[in-house]
Amino acid sequence: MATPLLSVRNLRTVFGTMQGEVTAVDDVSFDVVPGEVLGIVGESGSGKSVTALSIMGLLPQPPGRVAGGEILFEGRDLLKMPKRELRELRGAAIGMIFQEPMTSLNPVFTIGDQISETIRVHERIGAQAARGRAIEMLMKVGIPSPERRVDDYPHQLSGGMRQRVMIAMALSCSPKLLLADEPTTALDVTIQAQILDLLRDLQQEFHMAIVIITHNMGVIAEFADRVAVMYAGRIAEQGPVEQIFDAPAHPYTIGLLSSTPDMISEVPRLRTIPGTLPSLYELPSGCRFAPRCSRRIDACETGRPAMRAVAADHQAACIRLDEQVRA
Amino acid sequence: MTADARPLLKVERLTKHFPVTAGFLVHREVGRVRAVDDVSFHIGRGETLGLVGESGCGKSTTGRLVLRLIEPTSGSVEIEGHDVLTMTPAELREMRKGMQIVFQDPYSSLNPRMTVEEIILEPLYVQGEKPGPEMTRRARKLLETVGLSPNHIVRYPHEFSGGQRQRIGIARALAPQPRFIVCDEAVSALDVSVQAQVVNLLQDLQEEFKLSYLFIAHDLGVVKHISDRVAVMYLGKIVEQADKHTLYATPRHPYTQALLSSIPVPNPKLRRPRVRLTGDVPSALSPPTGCRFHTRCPHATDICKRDEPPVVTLAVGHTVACHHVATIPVIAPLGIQSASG
Repeated sequence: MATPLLSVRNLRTVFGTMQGEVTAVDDVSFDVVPGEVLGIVGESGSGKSVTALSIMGLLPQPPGRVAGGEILFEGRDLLKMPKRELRELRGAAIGMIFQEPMTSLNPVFTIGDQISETIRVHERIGAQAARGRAIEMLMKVGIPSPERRVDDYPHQLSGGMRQRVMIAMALSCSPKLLLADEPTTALDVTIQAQILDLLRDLQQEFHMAIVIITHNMGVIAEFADRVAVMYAGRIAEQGPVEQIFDAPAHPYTIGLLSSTPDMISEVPRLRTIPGTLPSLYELPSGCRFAPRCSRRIDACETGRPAMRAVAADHQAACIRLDEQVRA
Repeated sequence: MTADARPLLKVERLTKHFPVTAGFLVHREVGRVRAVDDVSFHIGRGETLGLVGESGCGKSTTGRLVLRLIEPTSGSVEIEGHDVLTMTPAELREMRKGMQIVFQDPYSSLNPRMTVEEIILEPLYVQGEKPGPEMTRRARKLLETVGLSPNHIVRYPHEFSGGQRQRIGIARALAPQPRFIVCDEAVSALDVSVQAQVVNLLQDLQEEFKLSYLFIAHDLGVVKHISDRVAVMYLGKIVEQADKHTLYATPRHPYTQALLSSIPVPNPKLRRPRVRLTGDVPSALSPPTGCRFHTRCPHATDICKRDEPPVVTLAVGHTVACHHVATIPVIAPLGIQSASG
């Protein structure tokens, strides 16, 4: 494996609340190599978005706080970096797009101004040249007649077009890493396909790495190279996409995949995972999936399950891996 | 599909135009949102019709029109042979015992000040039933039917998770013993692992009570799983209707082809044709002339801009509204080989 571009080591993020401190992300580790797409998938409360915010240093603090671990970007720990340096890195070497393109753009500035501002914060470049770059970026993300659209305000654009503008802004300084938090969740299916195609083309062109966060197994299957499955603040399983879908090892991944109707195989009934996601206030001790797991044994309830190798570059946090008969 | 010859629900040429008004004291009509335009379908006893489409296509409005929760501009809705649209309020209330709805948002669709018992029994009180021990027994029975503990009747909605609340919403819909339920994005707000539980519950209840569903959703995977037949809407029109196997294997309308080819499938090995649409859905305020899809259609010609396409029947139960359906190549957007099953 190549030297990682981003290496998250034992990340722990907590939130202070009225009922005490809760751990939203607990001992999460993963690597992203240059030019690769890592998908982070999970249901609500799994900690996937908090992981992204922690990497970007955009946690609302308080109540949020990174309580432990390292976030190494090209070998340097973002958590120990002075604020000024971090600001220089963000937007230049690391870009980010969010779920909600309505609220991520400033309604009182034209989209051209907003893209130019991003460029001028990071590069010594004149207003006229920055505007030219903004038009070029808008053309790259497929906005028709960009030289006219550059003077539009966000409200003049549709949801899909706004997400394109967000992508133009995030990519305007050719980042090495793009963090995409549910970038297509608010969009209709036909628009989602356009945006994913666009991201894939740009990823090839800029040879950037992408961390995409989603709850949609279909998006993971079609877009990611590797995937990390999160459950209740921890990574349950990670590995290459084809392997995870072909031979999932963690009972949660197995359950998640078989409860997603896939449109191709026909089953009379969906397999389900009994129970509901645990509240962060009352997390089970031991394996957090144990109360819902069909393979639970007493030992699951004591001690946290360690990440164990399933195959090359494929790990799962389950103490019963060895005994499992793969379905 | 059911063998029953007479459908439970028959909807013909259903249309709803919302007026758009302007002006301060005097409201002038300045336009019309053609939310639902000339929509026809039927649902048999014990059958599920899936209604899919992107946001703003009119699928939720259709569900509400069928129950007459909003008044249609024109068209007809017949349930068991009775015309819903000409009923007096008293007749309508009586008829509503037979037709219920489950809403999308399990948070805003339950009154936070009412106990679960009051929520579940409210439709019966509206029908004139009086509270008493017999009614409490019914509430407990209903909770058990939807997989919750009967002892939960004294609790309030905030004490439940999203999936449990959706079960309460289903129990409320079941209370008057309906034959027909509109499920309006009933599982869309739920996480996958919980969604599967509620989908299974809906299927069990259908079996047990011989229910018919109009299942409105944007998730094409869930719709395929639960439906017998599927109708696809685009800008207020049904563009294609077929049994689910045919529709998902070899859709014939260019919009259905693009929709199914766009949906991400949880199978990384799948190789399939890519049909991509350009542009966005036009506004329903001024929909395109002729075929409403022509602005985004890769096969559009002059006739599409001019004339509304006729509804063509390709096979029994398979209808398509497209001028060029005979010449558009048949593709398998999901890589499913044949339409058997």
